[in-house]
Amino acid sequence: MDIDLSTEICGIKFKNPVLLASGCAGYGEEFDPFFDISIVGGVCLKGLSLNENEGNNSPRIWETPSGMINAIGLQNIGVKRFLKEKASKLRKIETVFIANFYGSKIDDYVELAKILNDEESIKVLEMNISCPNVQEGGIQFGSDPSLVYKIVSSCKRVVNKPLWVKLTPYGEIKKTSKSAYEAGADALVAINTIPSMAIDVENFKFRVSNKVGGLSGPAIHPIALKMVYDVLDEVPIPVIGCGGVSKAQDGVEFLLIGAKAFQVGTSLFYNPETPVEIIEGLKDYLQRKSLNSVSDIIGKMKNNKLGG
Amino acid sequence: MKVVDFTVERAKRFNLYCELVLRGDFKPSLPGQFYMLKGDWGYHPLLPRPISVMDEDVKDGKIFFLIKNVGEGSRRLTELKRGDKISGTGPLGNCFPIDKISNKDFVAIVGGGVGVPPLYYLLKKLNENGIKPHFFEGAKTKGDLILQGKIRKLGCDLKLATEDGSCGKKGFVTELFKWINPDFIFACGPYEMLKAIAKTFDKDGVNCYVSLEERMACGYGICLGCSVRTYDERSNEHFERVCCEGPIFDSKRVKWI
Repeated sequence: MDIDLSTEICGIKFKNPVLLASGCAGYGEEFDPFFDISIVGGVCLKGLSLNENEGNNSPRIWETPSGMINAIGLQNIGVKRFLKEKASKLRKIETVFIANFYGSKIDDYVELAKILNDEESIKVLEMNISCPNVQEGGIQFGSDPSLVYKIVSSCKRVVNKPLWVKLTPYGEIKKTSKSAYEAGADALVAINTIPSMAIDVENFKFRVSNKVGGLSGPAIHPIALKMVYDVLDEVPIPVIGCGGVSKAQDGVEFLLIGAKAFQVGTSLFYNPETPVEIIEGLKDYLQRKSLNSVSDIIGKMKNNKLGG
Repeated sequence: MKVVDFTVERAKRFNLYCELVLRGDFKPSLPGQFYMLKGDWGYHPLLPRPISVMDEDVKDGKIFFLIKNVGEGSRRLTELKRGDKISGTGPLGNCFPIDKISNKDFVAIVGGGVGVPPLYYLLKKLNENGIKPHFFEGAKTKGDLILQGKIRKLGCDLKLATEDGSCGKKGFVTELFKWINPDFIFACGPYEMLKAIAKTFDKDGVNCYVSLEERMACGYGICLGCSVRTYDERSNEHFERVCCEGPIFDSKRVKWI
């Protein structure tokens, strides 16, 4: 039986629902030693800003039970260098590249949206209004519904490619998702990392130099799943699940709840071959359930009122 | 680099240490390179641990690591038993620049604590090139000194220092070699030791290379968690990743804090 893993979001076809999350997949070339990146449905590139950003001082990461806190601070090469050094290589790779971008003010977002909208290798734009560990922009925009509306609608006006908005779990996600939808977002990504903190009690120091970081990894998966459920309850546009996916089963949960695709992030750090295993696992799952396409499971839980 | 499925061939424990002999289909590594190691214990600890290669026998498919129990991740690694499965991504990072050295050069190797294992591998490779370095090892106490037997077995001149004076010279390892005037120094150990060495040999004509340690999530360049401040040729400060541009750095290029 031929299994169709493809999924369609805002008119763009993805060969499977496995996307690599921004900040965990570099600019697409780092996986060459491990697997052919064109096997995945899509790659969300490392968040880009107008100017190069060197990020936060070390320490930048701290491991937590079944998770990790990061405060990299959106280190990136800036959009100009990205276009010059990286973009042309992406054109030859057969997967969907999604440009993640962020700024410290609305004008930055708009400027970036314009630039990235014109780049041929980029098929989708993903607005990051949800980073917990930068001083400006990020989560302040993403947790205030009226600011979300303002910033999303400003960008929407200047792009014709699908505009995804990556939401923070901080604040009231039902309200922020509704604002993003009303402002014209084509799809929503839920969730970004959870604002978090850890302290070295022996030396009276914060574990990451920025004090606050973003929690990710398997620990946050059940939270992310519930948030996707809430967002889908609020908006009629496609939602992409993100948070703690480390095996096919986690991704299947997102699909069953109604997400059109899911992103894989932190698990790439501890197992760079995770996407290969998840794609195989998805096929196995569908086969085991005698289903032949991913669309058969998307939203299957919607009318299921039964508890465990 | 690749992800290798290793099997523990032998696990020899002493004090806080465990020498792991792993069997698997791995690529040859250069001295100073490391692997990200993680046993099949699931999600806690979540991240693999960066461990430098102590030795390898490519023909026989065996690779050696010496691990010190200093926290949850390393504790789990030191508790592995024969037959256990463990995944290792590597070899990762750059290496000590051994090709730059001739047999006329005065070469010093300085190791502190668990920094010694990769230096043993370096020593072996230098010996293969006909170079006979001087080895200086320091630790807190006599019981913390490691690999002296193996180092001496290679016919290497080894000088020891302990902070409590229980073996060798009393004090920090740096006390052993302030007087020397080497062409090359290769060091691995605690940050303060590396900093002191970098300061002592911050002069023209001495090539001092240090192996830095940082917390890292991936080890292959994408998480950007292990970035440290360095200087480029024009003395401009920027970040470099310990896992990719390092772990070996010219000590003059490191911004010491």
